[in-house]
Amino acid sequence: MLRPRLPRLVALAGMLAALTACNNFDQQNQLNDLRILGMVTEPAEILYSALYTTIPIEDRFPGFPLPEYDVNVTVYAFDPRGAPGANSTMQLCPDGQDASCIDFDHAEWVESRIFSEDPAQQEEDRAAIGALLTPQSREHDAVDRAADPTGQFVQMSYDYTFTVPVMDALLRNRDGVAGFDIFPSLPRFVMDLENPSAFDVRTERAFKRLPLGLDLNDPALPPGFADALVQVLGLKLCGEDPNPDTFVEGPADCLFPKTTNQNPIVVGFDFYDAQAEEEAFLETGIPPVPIHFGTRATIGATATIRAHSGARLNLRPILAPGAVEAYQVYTFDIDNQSITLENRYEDPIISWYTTAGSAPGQTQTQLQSSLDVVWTLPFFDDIAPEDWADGDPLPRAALFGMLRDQRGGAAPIKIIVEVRPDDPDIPKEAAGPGGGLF
Amino acid sequence: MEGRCGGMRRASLKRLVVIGWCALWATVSAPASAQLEPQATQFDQEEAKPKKRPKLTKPPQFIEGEEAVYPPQARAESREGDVVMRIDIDADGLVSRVAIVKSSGFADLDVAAMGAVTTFVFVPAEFDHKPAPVAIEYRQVFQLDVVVEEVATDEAIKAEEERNAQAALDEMVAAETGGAGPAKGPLNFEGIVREAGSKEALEGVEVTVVIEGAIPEGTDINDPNFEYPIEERTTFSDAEGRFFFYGVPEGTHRVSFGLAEFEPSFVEESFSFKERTEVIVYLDPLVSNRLETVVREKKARKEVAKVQLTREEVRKVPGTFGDPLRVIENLPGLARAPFAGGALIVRGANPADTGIYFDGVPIPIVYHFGGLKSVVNAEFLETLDFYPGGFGAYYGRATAGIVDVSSRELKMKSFRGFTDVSVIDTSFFFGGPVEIEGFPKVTVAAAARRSYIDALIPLALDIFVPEAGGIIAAPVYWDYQLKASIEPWTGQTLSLFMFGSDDDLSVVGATGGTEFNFGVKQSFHRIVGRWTSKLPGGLTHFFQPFVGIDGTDLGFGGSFGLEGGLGSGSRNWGVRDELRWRASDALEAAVGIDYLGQTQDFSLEFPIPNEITAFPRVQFRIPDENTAIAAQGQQHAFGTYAEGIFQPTEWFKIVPSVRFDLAYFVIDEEELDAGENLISDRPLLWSVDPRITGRLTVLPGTTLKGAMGVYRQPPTAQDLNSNTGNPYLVMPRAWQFIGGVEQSLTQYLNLDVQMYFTGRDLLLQGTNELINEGNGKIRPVNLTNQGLGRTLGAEFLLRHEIGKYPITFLRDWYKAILGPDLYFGYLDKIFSEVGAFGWIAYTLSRTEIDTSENRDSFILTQFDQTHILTLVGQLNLPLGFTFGGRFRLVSGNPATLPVGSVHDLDTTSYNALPQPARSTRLPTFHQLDFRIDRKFVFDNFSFTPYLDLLNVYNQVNAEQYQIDYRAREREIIQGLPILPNFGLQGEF
Repeated sequence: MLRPRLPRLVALAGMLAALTACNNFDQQNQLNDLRILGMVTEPAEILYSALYTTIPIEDRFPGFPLPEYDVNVTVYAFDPRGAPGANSTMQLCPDGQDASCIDFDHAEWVESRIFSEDPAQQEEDRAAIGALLTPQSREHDAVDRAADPTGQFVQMSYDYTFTVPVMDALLRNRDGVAGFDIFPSLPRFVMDLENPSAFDVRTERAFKRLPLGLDLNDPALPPGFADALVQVLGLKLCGEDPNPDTFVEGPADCLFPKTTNQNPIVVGFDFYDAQAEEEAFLETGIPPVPIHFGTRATIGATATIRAHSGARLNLRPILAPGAVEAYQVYTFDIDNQSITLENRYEDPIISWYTTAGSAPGQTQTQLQSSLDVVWTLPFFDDIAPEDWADGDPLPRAALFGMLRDQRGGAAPIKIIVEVRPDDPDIPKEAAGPGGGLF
Repeated sequence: MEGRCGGMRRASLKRLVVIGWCALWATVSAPASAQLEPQATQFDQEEAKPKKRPKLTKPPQFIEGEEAVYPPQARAESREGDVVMRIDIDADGLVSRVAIVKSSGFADLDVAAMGAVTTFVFVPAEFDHKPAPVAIEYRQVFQLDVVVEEVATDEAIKAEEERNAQAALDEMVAAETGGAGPAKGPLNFEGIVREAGSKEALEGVEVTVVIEGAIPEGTDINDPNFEYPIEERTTFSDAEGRFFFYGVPEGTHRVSFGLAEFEPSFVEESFSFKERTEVIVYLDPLVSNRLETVVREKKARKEVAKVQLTREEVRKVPGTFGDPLRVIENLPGLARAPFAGGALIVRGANPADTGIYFDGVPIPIVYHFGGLKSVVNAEFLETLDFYPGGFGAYYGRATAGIVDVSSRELKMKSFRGFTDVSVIDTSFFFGGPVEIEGFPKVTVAAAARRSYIDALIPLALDIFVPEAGGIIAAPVYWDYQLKASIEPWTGQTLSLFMFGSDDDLSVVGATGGTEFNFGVKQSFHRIVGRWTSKLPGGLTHFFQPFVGIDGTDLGFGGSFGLEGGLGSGSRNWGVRDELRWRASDALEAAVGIDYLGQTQDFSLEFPIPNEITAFPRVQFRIPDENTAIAAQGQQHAFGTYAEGIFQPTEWFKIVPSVRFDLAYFVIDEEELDAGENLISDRPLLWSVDPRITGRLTVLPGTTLKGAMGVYRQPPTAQDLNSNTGNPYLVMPRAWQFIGGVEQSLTQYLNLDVQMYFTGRDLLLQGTNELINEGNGKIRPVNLTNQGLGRTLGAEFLLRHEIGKYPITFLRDWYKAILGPDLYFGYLDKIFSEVGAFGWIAYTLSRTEIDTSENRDSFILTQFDQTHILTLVGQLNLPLGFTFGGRFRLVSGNPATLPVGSVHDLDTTSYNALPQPARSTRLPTFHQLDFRIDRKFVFDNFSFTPYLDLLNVYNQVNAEQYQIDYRAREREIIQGLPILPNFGLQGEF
């Protein structure tokens, strides 16, 4: 009562010691070995009517909206060390399991989600759900790191069909009851990837959620639903779409009809803040287009360029129109201890990974107001083979970025640079960070 | 014939009789047990508070004993010498301890003398007509030019002994009446005896004026039977160091001064009947006797597990930077705290479960930032009571242990000062009596400390860690103590004590182009009054009110647009009132009240993410505006307790006690602002906790002991806040069971073994449970009382009391190397003896908690340390050198290590796949600390340069694991490397 529960200053001392402790660990944004850095699902979100779970299966009437969705999953996995081949296993894991989904028994789970009374239908449902949840194993082709310094794996696309029995299985418990949940169900795509040729860091396990969202504004919902929503959760339905001209971020009075979240699209990079220089310094794409100091240029989202050793590239990702969407979230009013609504625009964030050189781990619009990234290229000597000679292919470095809208939408970005030999007339330190030399 | 007791008081100083009672009753001023027992707390005044000095009504009388044997080798080598020993005689008249006060310079003579003395049997001394322990000094003289005829017979011995005893008694009486015997003539000699350096008055110093009479004309001084006509007049200094002589004959006489553990001294003074001779004499302490560090266990008190330390005892323990409060970390029952320490982990419990008191007043912290120094200046500490468990009903609101620091009792007879300058901070102490005519004497003291590592850290970072990148960490701490004490009437003591502490840490820096700042500040201040009065009928009344203020502030911000803060403050007040009645030696009782009041001002301003969607983000969405949470109100905690102490015999004591606690909130409506959530309808918290302790001496030197009791601790204000906690929490509870034995092994060795079990229930436990109250209202539960815990352990304390060991073999060796021409007699002093003490503390324990849903899965707590071994030793060497060492060997703290990870591609984080919680441990901790100092003593001041060296062999100890981002690699976070702290202490 008269003492703090924790000796705060002591705890802070420990925290500071931990924060300032030195270590020799790899940095997360260094792409040195086997990594799974992103998945993109298309669509980014599945939206279903509240009718689907609020009305029992046996009460579904003719014309009942039965959703069925095709989902494509693309995995972005890399091993810059290269790999003669790789093995992967992809699995859909229902919500409610542990995050790793390691202990998930899909067979037992499928049996617990067969709700039809008809044996024939049961068999059909079992096959449909089992096909989706059974792990898919693949052997991947060799990774040629000479062509791509990131060592990106290929054959990483997976297709799923979410049928009605699958949706029922994912949204209902073993008693067939779905209830009413304003939060989305979050089944996950989980991948295990192995590079058998690697000496260490041979495996990586990663997952991405696919939100199954609930639309509360379905006009087919029974009368009284809206009143119950107000009575139970204090939420009011707007009944009409938001006006884009009047939609502003901040507290909202009512819940707009929900629209499906879309994956953002990155159309390329814009080089900016280049310094005046007469000499051509940068070549982009094929055929190479020289870019001069003092100019601005845009290259594609998966571009190859050539630049000076140790140069600093100022890059601004360019998003397609509409990439930043408006949406609403549930919030909690701490003072009144109640659920509230808030209008928002997405605030994208990009995670950056480099095979060489240095770049920040993330750039984001929320705290930094821009997605701009500064990539300081490695020096030629640092990445070129010791026996490199004139005429040999230039050594390469890569920057990979994964854009996330933080609602489930994602998009990849990659830029590869061929690094020119060091110019003996330019001191290394002058070409390094802050030198601004290309 | 050697080794016989013989008369000597008639002899010339130059012609001592061979062997005899030199019963220098100088130290019989108090029973030996009272000197050897630790000082008691203020609430045990009848037991150990300075009482009226017992009066020696009967000196010990020698009954029998073996004679010392003159070692043949010494005889053959014509070696002679005097051995002065201090003999502790117990209440049965047996010799309980012998210590060399002054060596003969020869080990074989010393051993022969001690061997004889240990066989002595006495009629016990009596104080106030009751047999009691006593200490005497005894001189054994080995001299070869023995005249056999002068050796006294047994009858003569007894007669001499009786004369000496009577003389000593007369002198005692005379000393207490302020003079040396009956006043004969004018008061023409007086003086004060003080300790050199500290200037503290010395009581009980034997002051002897040796008056050589005139030699009658015609006397043949070469006659073998001639004796110089010498008269010795002796008295003893009083409590203020004063002594008086009347009618000292005119002329120049030698005056000698002697006191155990001080260098004997003498002066030549001229005396006259017309003038009063006044002297101030400073006695140098025998440095080898200054054993300033011991760990003591209160043997005569009612507690089972209490350990009491005094200021002088704990200032030189290595590894503590001279900070007394950090010594307790070397005792059994206290786990090792990470890094520099600071967390009091008592018997495996959460540090917040241990109560910290300063003069009985609760304080929020005991250590400054980082745990290097405590908030109490070492010079302002009188005693430090540490209860690892089993404490009585006097203390409440704690379920683990108690640390109670008592401020210094201001008994200074003159102004004294002390300063300590080290590389970390500087402190000072200054105090003394202030006397104004017509008013009672007031004793005042002040102390303060301020760190300057805020200036040194940036400098060190620039030099040694340039890659730190401009991060500036500026920790600053300071503390102060002010106290005044007065005794207006006999038996009445009033004091006013003000103290406080402040810690401030600011971190400013930039990383990755982002500027950030972070700051935390914690402070407290207290004003404490105290009135102690002794009443007729064995009653003692104690009244202590206090007021205070606490504050904690935390803030952060930076160029990333995120800023916020947390602040809590409170005004505290309280009172403790106790009435204690000592009916007889067999019965004592006490009742008391203990009230604490506190305002609760708590505010949090933070950009709390308020999104409750289930899809996880890479980074939480920062709201445009900070969320403000605030609470205001008052919290009241009443406690009453009663305690009885029954001791029907000397070998059995039982102390039952009971405590009633009541806690509730009062809302201060006037201070409410709209939107603030306050606790208004929570129930009263109350408890009745019985406790009992007992001690049973089954054999001389063997005591069994046990305790059991119920202990509770109210939740904190934050725990009861509806936003951050749960208003409907009840008090967490602990059941303590303790059993043990104390065994005296040898004269110097004592063993204390305890076993204990603590069961804990109703522990606070976090929960994500939400209660939907309808209409969109959702109440987070935050905390419940569902946690369980338990600790089972055993503690061993093997203690070597202060002991002195001759090292004359070194002298002999040195002498042999140098040869007689180069050997100086002064080296005898260097190689006379060393003092030593130390202890071995070992704790074996296991502490678990169960926070599982089904209450069926106990796991180790983060504080569990299976083995804790601490060895502390100190050598006090001649020439004022002190060497000390501490070695610790401790099990590593529990840790939970991941066995891999899964990459969450929606958040970009790697989710660790953990082993079962706390299923592994950090590597075993071991560390050696070392301290050396040298005290230089002058008449009016002393100074002590010191070096305190932590982690002598620079062991890389793991304090935590740090795991790489994908939980594949791990490295340790290293504890403190080798760390020297040197400084200079001065005293005047």
